[in-house]
Amino acid sequence: MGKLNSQKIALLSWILFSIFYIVGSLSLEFGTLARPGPGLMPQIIGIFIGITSLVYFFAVLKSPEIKGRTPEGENAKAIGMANIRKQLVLFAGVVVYCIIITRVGFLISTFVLMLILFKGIETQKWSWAIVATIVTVILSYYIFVVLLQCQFPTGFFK
Amino acid sequence: MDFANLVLAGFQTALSPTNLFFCFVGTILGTLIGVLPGIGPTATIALLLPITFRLPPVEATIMLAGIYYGAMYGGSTTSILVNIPGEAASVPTCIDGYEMAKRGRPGPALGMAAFGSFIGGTASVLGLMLLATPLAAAAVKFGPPEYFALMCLGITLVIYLAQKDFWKSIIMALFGLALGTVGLDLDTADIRFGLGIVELNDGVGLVPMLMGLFGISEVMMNLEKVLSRSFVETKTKFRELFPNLQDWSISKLAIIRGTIIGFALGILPGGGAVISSFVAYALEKKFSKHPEKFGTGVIEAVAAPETANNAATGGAFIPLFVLGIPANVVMALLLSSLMVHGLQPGPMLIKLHPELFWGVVASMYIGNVMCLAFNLPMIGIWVQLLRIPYKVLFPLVILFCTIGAFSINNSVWDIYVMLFFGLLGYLFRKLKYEIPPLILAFILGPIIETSLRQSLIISKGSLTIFFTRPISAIAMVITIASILSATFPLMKKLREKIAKKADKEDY
Repeated sequence: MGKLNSQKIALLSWILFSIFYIVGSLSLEFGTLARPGPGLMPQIIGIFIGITSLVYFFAVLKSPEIKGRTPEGENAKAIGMANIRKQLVLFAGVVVYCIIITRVGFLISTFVLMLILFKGIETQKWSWAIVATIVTVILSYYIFVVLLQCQFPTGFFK
Repeated sequence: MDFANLVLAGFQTALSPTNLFFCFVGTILGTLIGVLPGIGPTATIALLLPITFRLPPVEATIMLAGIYYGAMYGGSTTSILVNIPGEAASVPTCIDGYEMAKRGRPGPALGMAAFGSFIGGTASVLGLMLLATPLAAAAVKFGPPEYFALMCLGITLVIYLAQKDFWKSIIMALFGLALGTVGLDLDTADIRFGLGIVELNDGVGLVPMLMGLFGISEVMMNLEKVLSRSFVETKTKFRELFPNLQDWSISKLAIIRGTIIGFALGILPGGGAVISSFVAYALEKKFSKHPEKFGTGVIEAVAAPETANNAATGGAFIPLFVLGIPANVVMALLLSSLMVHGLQPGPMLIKLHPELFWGVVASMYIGNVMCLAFNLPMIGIWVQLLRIPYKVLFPLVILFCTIGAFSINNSVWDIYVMLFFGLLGYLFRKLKYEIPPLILAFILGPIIETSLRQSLIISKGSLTIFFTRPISAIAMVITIASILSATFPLMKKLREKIAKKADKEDY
């Protein structure tokens, strides 16, 4: 099988997905060709995903693994640890926003999110980050709540 | 209502103060995001979709259309001055545009890009105006077999024209179809792949998915790069932005060819501005008497792709308005915007809502004039905007995505969906899986399934219905031929690879 690289892992994931998808569609009625049921399309799609992934997986297995000189070799190291901290901070910021918005309201949750994004990802001075955050919160409130009349949780500011 | 009256009514709609305002906002915003690398028209439209849900449909469509073709104008500025394409369709412009700028001719390069864009854009709107109505009249006669066949053809062409791996594009399209099956089956009310989550009964949300795939994942990719820019400083006076007579003489055929190529490829699903600009550049080089000069700063190499990418914008509206089939991801976003407003794009749209179609068409003429009018004089301002560091821009993009996703249903579920697809989109980009086939298949999948099931009911289970009706037969034959023509060379390559490996092992 050779070394497991990210392309092969991706294709194995697709094969697993197709199995899960087909199994999930078995509980749906296939019907007949004259009266197709809700299971017809999912089962066709699932089979095609499985076949395509398998064919491509074996093609990737059989291709010469010359590192860096084949597309597979170049893509083999596609997923690295570069800047994973930035990605994690970005995700953490948005997840925190999701958790607190209904509790503390739009203004405070937006303030927290922007502070995390301005200060937590790239190097910035605290003073700059806080000013930029406040300006952004005011502008976003004006655009979304005042101009566009969006309804957001008010939290403490009921 | 005769043609002239319809056109006049369209201009009456487009020239109303409100619609003029939204046209202006769309074209300015489009030019702005075309100038700024790191965010393209697709991501911008995805971000703004929740906002447009609160606008009337005509205003919303005018603004979104303005963003689309405005971005094509703006993308040339960074390509020429910074050698960074503002958006993908401006990549060929970098090759010779930046060289012209380095040789002291940024003005004519910028000017020719703007004028070429204007000519291509205006000509394509004219084509849209002339072709849409007769095509829509023919499309009224289409039934489920025709829609099934044409949509299969559309997805196949998107895969066939994929710039990267063919097999990966197939997998992405199939994944898009799979995602489209999630939710309530309209025929039997069965819940498919709901996973016990109530929110999934309505299916996967298109807007949070798009925001994740294009907005969040784009930011995640850009955070890994150091976006350093070296500028060609230009203190070009306004009058130096106009190409001279010799430039026009050299470029006139490039502009004509770019217009035709752009418009034709814009109509094709999977075609669009990006492919049009690359094909126009390649063709211009082929037709040139001095192809060896391409890459050294020749003006026709700027004129051709810039004309083509704007000509494609008008062409792309034809399958959307006439058949309800989006030719590319931007059109898919416009389709979802129209559907949220309760409008079903297709042959009846022009008949039932002439103010929408003719208003949008007229606004595109006006928008092209606006883009030309403020693109050139405002070059200095666009250049200053390029100095905005990405670390200021990306938090705003994330904020817009997050608030936009939340505002759809006032639910954090949509934000989680956006994050999930943001992560998926990031992985797809790293592993070189193209996203457009997924989006198009996701949007067209439910319609394909409905058309398939209706066709089989009509034919009592016989698949020959797709080959006995002329239009669906032609579409199916082209679909099968495209798949085979792409597959057979791959199968041959596969066999050769296996044979080579077997030979090596023998020794």
